[in-house]
Amino acid sequence: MKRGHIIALGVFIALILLVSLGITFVGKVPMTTDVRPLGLFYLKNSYFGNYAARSPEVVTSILWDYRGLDTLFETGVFFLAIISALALFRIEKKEEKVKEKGEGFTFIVKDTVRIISVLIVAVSAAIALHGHLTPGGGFQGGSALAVVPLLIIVAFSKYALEGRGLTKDTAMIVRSIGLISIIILVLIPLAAGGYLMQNLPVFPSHILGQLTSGSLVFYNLFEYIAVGAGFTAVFLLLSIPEKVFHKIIGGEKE
Amino acid sequence: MISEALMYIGGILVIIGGICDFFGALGLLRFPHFYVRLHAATVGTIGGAVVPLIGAAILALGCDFLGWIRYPIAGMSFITAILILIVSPTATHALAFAAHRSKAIEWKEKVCDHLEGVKR
Amino acid sequence: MIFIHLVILAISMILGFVFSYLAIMEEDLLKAVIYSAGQGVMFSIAFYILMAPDVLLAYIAIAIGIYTALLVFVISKTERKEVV
Repeated sequence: MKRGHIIALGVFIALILLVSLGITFVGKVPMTTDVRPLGLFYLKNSYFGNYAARSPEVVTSILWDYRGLDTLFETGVFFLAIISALALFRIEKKEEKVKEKGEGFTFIVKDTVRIISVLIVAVSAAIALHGHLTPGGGFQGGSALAVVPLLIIVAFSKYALEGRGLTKDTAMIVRSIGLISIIILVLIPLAAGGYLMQNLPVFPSHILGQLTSGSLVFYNLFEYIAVGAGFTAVFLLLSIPEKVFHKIIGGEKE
Repeated sequence: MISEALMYIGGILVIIGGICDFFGALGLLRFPHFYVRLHAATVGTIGGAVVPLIGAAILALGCDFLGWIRYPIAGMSFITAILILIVSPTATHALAFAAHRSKAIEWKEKVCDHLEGVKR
Repeated sequence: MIFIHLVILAISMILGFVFSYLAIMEEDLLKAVIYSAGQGVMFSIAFYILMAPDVLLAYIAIAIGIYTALLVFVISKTERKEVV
């Protein structure tokens, strides 16, 4: 590390400590111990009460019930990001002609990836499907699921994933199924005579005796599928080797 | 009686973990080239993360005042320890394999390199 | 008891700031990505202490796994050294 870096970091840390200590001891910031009225409303109404989402997890009930439209448009932003990545890396001709066999790592790494990927799928499904009971939800579970194709691409190769049917097009189709299901779930209460993204009287709060919190478990499931498949499509696009791009597009030779 | 013995065993394992962490950090700073430093890093993760996690599990089993919640603590510690025991040596192996494959590291006083002529 | 938590929070946030400073000032982009992952680890500890497990679960998968891998892919397609 250079000397200038050390001096700059020292000044930086001293500034942070001075400001935080000054605010604490000189500025006399009052300690807030009670919850504000809006937060109190959510805490009281998320499981019990008249405006209940029937979910013990307050964050998920805010995300997909009380402030559901915000999360819906966040999903739209994610959708647009994936679409822009696809437009940047567009290959019109077939890519299969330059197929080559990937070597990958040694068998130790491959066996460990086989064990670990099953485990990651189980954990991410638990995060997503228990999203209305414990911390977590669709986006968290989906981003944990997206680690699995990444591990397989690194340890085996991209062609191992595509040879088993998980190509870019398959991932895009699965992601579109997830998004369309979310939109249908949004529109179902309108057909039943309610308003957009209405939760409880339309959807049942218990299915087969299990607490499902109305539509929250369905939203989490479809968001999980959409996010996982979207990240998988981006990884499959990014892991195309550069020489394949040069060969197909026919640009400048290096 | 048994709980006291479990607490002592767990404490000793945690202390061993601290010592392994210290020597791992020392080796990471003092060893000459990449592969030997990788060895020191693995001492740091196996001795410094797996052993104290097992120690924490045994320690939690010995603490009677925790009530029933000591069983979940012990189970989670054991599962995390086994996971690290599987993943960490694999990561080290992959690092060493990739470094040898790409010929990124050259070290002096090369005693022997059994993989030198091997294509794969 | 809350004092220990505040001390851990302060240490992890300061280390996170140090990592982000190093990530900005580093010229080798691959090293900068690793520093950025270190910053992700430190901030996830801070999120755990601030009792935000929902944010933590998304952040730890994205900042350490996906974001790092995406940037390594992108660096492998372009140049490794930063050109000003």
